[in-house]
Amino acid sequence: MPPASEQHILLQLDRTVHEPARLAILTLLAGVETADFMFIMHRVGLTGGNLGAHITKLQERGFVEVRKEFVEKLPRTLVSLTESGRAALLEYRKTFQQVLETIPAGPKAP
Amino acid sequence: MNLMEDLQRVEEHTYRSVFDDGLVDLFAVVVLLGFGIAMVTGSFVPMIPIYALPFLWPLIRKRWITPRMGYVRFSAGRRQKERRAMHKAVVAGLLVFLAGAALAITIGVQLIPIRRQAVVHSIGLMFTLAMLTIMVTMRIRRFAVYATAMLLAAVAGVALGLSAEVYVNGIGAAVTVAGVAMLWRFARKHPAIPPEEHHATG
Repeated sequence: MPPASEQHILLQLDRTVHEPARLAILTLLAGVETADFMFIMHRVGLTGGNLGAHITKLQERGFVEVRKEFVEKLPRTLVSLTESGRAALLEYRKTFQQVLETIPAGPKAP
Repeated sequence: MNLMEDLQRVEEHTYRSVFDDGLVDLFAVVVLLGFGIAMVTGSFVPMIPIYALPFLWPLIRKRWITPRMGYVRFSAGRRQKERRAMHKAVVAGLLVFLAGAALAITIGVQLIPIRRQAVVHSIGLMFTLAMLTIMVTMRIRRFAVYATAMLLAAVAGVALGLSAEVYVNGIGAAVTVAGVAMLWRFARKHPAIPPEEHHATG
């Protein structure tokens, strides 16, 4: 495979992670052991439906683990980052840093 | 900045946000005003609610805060760090309290007035340390402001003869305003979710 050009690095970003809402969810989960649906919803600022859709996508990729439990007869959905999710976030960060280096700091003088 | 530092920053930020409800402030108020009012009235009764705080804390968080804010569990490392800091704080607080009490009981009354004042104002130092401990263990920055105000008030108390009960109650009133405002903001931002909707979000 030929070496990627500077612009092509952008295409190497994992799109599951790159989507802003999912990136926010993964970043939040990277800092905690586990959090429930409502906590993530408040912190990330998504509606229940939106969050559910993003969590499902992340779960399908194996980036998060979803566990249900009942606390005093009320359901609680706990979400935590998997090792694979942590690795994906790390990889995304590395790639994105490379992308940032290709972006000029300011407009060039004519 | 490396990844570990970044993740720690994320964890810190999330951890701090857990205490944005003003509950810690209101608990500090119970202690401050408990002592302050007891100093004014000379009665032990205003301090009685302080003993209920360790039982009320988990109860209020479980029944009122978590259902609104959601549940989060931090890493084992942080929980251990938190426990260790809390134990150190309790030991430090007890030592300051015992030292102050011992001074007041044994030699306090025989000291020249300015030193006697210093003994009386050691309560200000005790509160300063307690507030700094809260700031360090719970990463609540506003407690640095409360601690600074308390320390300055205690120093002013010694230097200018300001009465300890005045500033303890004064700072207690100021913290009450801050705590109630935060709790109000929290309740508006995180309305209670009826049990049937838990199924929708769960």
